[in-house]
Amino acid sequence: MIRYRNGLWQSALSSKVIKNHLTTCINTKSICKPITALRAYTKAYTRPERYLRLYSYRPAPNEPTRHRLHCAHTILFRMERSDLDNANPTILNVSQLPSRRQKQSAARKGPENRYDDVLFSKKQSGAYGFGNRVSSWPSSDEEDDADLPEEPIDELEIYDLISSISDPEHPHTLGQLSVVNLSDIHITPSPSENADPEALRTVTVDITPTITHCSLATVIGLAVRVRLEQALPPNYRLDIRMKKDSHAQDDQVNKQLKDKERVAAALENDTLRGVLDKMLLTCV
Amino acid sequence: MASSLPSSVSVTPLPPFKPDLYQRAWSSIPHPTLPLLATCHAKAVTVFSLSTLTKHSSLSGGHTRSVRCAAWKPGLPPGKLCLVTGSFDATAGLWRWEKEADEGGEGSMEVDVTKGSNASRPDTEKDASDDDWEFTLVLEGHENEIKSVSFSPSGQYLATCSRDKTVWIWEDVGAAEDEDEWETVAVLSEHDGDIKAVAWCPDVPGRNKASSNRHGSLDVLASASYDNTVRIWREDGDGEWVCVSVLEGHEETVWGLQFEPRTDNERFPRLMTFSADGTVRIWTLQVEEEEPTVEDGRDANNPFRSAMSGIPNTMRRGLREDWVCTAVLPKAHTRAVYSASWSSDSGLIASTGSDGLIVVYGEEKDVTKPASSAEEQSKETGDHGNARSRDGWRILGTVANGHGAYEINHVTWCKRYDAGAEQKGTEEMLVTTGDDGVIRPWQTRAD
Repeated sequence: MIRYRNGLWQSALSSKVIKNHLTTCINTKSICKPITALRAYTKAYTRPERYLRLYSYRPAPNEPTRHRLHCAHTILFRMERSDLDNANPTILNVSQLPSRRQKQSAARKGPENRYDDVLFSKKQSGAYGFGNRVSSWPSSDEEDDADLPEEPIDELEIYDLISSISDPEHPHTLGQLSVVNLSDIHITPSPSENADPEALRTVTVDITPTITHCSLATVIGLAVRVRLEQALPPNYRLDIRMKKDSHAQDDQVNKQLKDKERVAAALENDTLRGVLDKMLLTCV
Repeated sequence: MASSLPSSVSVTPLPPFKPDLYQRAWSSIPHPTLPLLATCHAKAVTVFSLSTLTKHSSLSGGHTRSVRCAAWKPGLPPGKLCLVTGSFDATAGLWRWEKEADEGGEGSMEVDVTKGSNASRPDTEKDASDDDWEFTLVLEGHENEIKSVSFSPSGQYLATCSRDKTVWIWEDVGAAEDEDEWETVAVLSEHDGDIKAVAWCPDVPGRNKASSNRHGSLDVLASASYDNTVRIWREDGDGEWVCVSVLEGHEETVWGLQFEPRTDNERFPRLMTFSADGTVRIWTLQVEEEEPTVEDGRDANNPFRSAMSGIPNTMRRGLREDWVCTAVLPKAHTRAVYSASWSSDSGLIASTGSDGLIVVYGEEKDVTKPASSAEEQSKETGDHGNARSRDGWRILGTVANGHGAYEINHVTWCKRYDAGAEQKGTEEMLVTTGDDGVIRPWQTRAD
């Protein structure tokens, strides 16, 4: 048992139980209530320390099934990958990169517990018997949520989400290659402004390709966009751009990345999708 | 048509269509005469009944990638439906739905509203199943995603456009024999970027009068592009479709366009365009004045026109059109405008887009001007210089976060047939289509 923050988390669900649940959901394509929390769990898995806030995130009543199922797939995939990986996936220099994630490293004890900290239930009862009955997943309690502090998503969180994307042609991450930089991420209105959490916010990411005529700039931009679309709540609008003068055809690339229709069509291209999936493999 | 502009229009949500699609939906196209609405989402189309606000039927299995757009074929006999779908798989599909002959008068077809009867509620009957739709023809030719499809007013021509920077015009050559046979009559490739949308000018007196001295088809096509321009296309009399005008002014991708649908005057319908630059613009065809005036005014420093001076006037007139941006609607959107719709009934325009805002605009009629259309006509042609200030548009109503946090991809005016309507088949509502997979009707009331 691990206590976190105000001791709100009391028990852990085993990873096996979680996997069973996710598999059931995916196989039956069911939009059971617990799945509404899955988006949050995805994020929780990628950012354990955000669990508290994310758990309080209530998806819109009309959250598309596609999103929910995608989240289920993502979590399952990461969990399985995590099981396969050796225990030491450390990448050189990664410690020099800005991240809030490092602070959590001490909490990781070993393969068995590696996602315990994100898989806690607030209710003891939730730990039992929901492998078969999806409806018994601990529900997101309204009254509990009200007590949780709303912690805004900030630039560092965005950075954490995208800096771990792999470069399509180098064995490094975009953070390591300084393709994405914390100073080039902006959120408007600023997260420190205590605005309505449901209000639209715009995330601007300026990408610095490694060379000015990098032909893969569009792919990198697309990966960043996809990553953020999957991870951020729907009220976040994304502007992914090439940093000014960093790319020979930056106007063209920017326009493509801004075009929702082109992005949607590109994601239906299996070849491109394969490249993107590979790049996003390293996102944890 | 509204005689005077209301001070404001209240836009209030009605219960959404059932079922929720739970995935991004791109557009919802109302049938021109029947209480049906075709919504494109993923690789399928769901047809909703506007009477019950529930699912009528669905079309699936015809496309290997997302269906982006759809168009109802106009002018079909009672008992028949025909829908064309444009898909990211680079094909357009033609679907037909026919009432079984032995079903009798109370069949599952929606009753034609033009007959003014209270529609029976056929969509509740069991035979409105998916099997009734037949995927009858694939139109292949485009190299990349099809973004928009549109029928000419008579249904004779179908225009499709694609990321491959071309517009294809297909002609229904099998209609007489009741066969599905379509011929490519033109491939238009002058745009420098993806073509986002195509639209035909409606068959209204203003169009036909302005075009009466032309040869060839009366049909006029407009296309909107990723290259920030809009182009106008006509048939030149020899069966060739040519670009007669390039409309430049938008600073970003032009997402779509619609010709003015109202038929209350004699001038050529104006054109509404909307763009990722966040603006909605109105363009007006400049009517040529006395021939000598044109010569005097422009020939001196226009070598092209001088070179044409040996060609008969009628032909020359056919070669180029002068479209001028006569209004930019008051700016309300902070992000791309994905869709706008111009009501044939009220003349109001509604727009929506990435910011989730729904905006309704009305055009201020100058009350000091006599209402006579002839008088208006003379003013239209008279004071070109003041054109921009004369078209006065005002925001009458806005709704923020129309689909919660999600982007709204489409908005359309649509007749109401549901139980809550005060005048079925006449009263108008708005229907928005969002990334959340919800198709939401909105009641609009003038205050």
